Amino acid sequence: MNYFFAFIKQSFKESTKSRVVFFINIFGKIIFFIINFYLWQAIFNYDGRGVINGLTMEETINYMLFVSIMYGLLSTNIHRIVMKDVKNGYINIKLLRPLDYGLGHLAMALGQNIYSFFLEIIPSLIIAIFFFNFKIYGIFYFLLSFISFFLAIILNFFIDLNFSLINFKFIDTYSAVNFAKSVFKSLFSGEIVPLNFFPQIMQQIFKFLPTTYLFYTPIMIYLGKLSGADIILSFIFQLIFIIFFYAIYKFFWKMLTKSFEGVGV
Amino acid sequence: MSLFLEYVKIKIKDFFSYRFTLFLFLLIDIIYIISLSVPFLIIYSATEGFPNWNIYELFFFTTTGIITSTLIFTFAIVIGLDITDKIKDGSFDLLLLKPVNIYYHMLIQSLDLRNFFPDFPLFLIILIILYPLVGILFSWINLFYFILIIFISCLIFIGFSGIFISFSFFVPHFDSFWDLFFSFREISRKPIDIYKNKFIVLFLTFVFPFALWNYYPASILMGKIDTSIVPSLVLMAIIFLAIGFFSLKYGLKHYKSANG
Amino acid sequence: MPDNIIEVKNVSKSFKKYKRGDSFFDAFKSLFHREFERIHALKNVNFEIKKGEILGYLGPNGAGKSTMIKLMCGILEPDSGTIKALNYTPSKDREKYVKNIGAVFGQKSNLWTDLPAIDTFRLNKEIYKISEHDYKKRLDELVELLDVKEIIKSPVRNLSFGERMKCEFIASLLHNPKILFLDEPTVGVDVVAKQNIRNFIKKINKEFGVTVILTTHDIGDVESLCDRIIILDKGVHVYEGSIPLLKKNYLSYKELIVYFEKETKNIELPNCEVIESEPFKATLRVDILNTSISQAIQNLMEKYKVEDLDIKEESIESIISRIYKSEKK
Repeated sequence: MNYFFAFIKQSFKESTKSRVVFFINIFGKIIFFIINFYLWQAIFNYDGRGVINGLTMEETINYMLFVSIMYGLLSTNIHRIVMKDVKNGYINIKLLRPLDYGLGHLAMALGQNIYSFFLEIIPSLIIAIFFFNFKIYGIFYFLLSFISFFLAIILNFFIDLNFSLINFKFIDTYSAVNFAKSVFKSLFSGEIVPLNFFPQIMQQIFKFLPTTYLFYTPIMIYLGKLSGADIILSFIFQLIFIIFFYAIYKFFWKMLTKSFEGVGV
Repeated sequence: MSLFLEYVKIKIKDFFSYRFTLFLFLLIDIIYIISLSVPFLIIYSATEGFPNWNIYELFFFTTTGIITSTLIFTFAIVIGLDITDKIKDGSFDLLLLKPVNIYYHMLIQSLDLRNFFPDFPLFLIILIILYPLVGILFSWINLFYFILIIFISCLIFIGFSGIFISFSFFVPHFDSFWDLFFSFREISRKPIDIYKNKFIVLFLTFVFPFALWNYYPASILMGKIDTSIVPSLVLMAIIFLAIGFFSLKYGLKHYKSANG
Repeated sequence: MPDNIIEVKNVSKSFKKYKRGDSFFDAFKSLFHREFERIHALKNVNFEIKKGEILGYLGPNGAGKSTMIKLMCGILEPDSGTIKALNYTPSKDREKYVKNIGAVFGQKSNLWTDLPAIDTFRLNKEIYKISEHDYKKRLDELVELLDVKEIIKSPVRNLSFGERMKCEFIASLLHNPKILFLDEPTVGVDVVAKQNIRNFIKKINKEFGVTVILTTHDIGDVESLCDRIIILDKGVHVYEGSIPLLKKNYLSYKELIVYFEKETKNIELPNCEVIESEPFKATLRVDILNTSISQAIQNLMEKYKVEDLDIKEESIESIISRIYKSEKK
């Protein structure tokens, strides 16, 4: 476990980026705020109804603002790292580490996320509150949503990790699979359009999809749309999915390392 | 010219050195269409949709967007991305060791024509099928302007890439910016007139020209906007190219090769 | 001076390096204010390289070797001073100049990894505008010399490191360069391939008259190849000259291995230090700064009954490392 925290610390140090990147990131966030703000205003004004599928205009805009704020935390580049490891044969070195391959990379991702939390999320949150009327519906819900986001980050990591492992067997097919995964994820996590807008039947299915717990549930908690029991249930679901994907990863990993022969040495 | 052809040849060979590549690219295209159309379908099924645009027009808009972005990607973005990578890992040194004009060499050695193979014909066919469905009157003038605007946007984004590349001469972690740039594509996928805000429209046209990626070519082909904007776009292309070129020149002068 | 193929005069080069702390607060602070220091990679370096020689450019890591090579290749521009190579200024007339040089950087590959090396060669033919006839002739020669007829037809990613290195050599020599820059060409290569590569470098130097400039950490390369060496430390030349000259100037001791007729203990001789002592054998270190080796042998013969003796010189490696160390003090 000590190794795990050492990795987090190391990765945090490493992610100290230059200030140009920092300001460009903030600039990017602001653009996304503006775009989402005016887009959903236009849709609601044109529609005429005040409430669409249980969301008011204000709630929908805040939903999309929150997605824009948190976007960076829920995107990993693990597939690129794994591909490099496999193609260049770094994997042999990493296998020598005293920490499990997946957990090692999780620690790295968390370290980067801590960095982005302070230098991307908090500044953009402040901008959203002051310039885009980003409303906090209740400090308790708000904090709970961050717990939910934290679990979502881990869940997201293990989903991505499992897909990255495809690299080991099929270096050439990885891009298609990875692309399909990211499309599926962005559609069914509520990242592009709130899941409320989907047809009723699909919303029933979404309850049992892991992607729902990446963006949709944390933000629903933030909006105060979920009852106490629902919130606890969503945490349990997130944990179950994390364990599920971790188990799959472990299983694949055992299979792969058995059959793995170093590439490109 | 023969150097250019040799590069094309070698890239094609490289492309087919893995199995199934062509098939995979087709698969990716299909997923791509789904990823672009489903959000519109969802919004249109739950609400009245976007003002001024019906769903067929939006599909047409999306499809033209794929074609234009294939071109812009191939001739501008991918090149910028490749060069920034090379600057980061130091293999840009090798480019400087070749007796070829550096600007020309950057352009052709990173030019990745493989995006053309499945995408371009596929989407052209879809576009032609959609044409009567949307009910647009075909006109040669509009087609001419469509091609002209794509050409202009390619030039603008080449200038843009030049600026980015020159940044990466100075900023060590600049490659992470490209990730952000790709996420901006989302902006280009919606017609900018729905924002109903003059400032945003001007900003996305002249400063941060993502509207040129899709909105202007598609709208002009569909006859939705008039062509009086074209001269100012030409001027803009010249300005962007000039900025790109000079910042590249400046950046090259200050190139400090990695692990030096 | 028509002999000199490269002339370097008063060249300095420095880099900015940002300081950065470890803590979270430092990360935040660096957004608004950052301190940097100047790293002087090269300080007032002067030297010439003669046509047709093999020059070894040595130094510890971070001494500025690679920077100098990059300056000579025209990749970087010097902050001050001038470089003249083949009557060009490399960074200014880069395009014309690089036509006449070849470079193999051990770390960076010129080859397309997914394709056979032959495809890269064809591409280089176009880049350097080599005529079909010259290309064929040259390629055949090089393939013959390196014995890689089959290797160049299989994808580079399937090749061993040594094989890949050979292909790199071909790629950088196809256009018949006058100067060849080698940045650690034998790093990571096994002993047999190393020997092949060394022989090859010697051959192209002798037969094609290519001037070779070589950086390496492998002392074997230096001893078997270089006519002349330059040792660099912290951006300053600390030694310049041939290997015999290096030995003459910096050799401070020789070792005598003495075999005695009978058991001998407690050997004592002026200016000699006993390193190892066995009943019938001893190793003595003779301080040749204060005495000559012949004097030491004479003293030895007078005092003890010697059956046989061997003279050993200090290895170049240890001389060079001594020079590095003395500079650091």
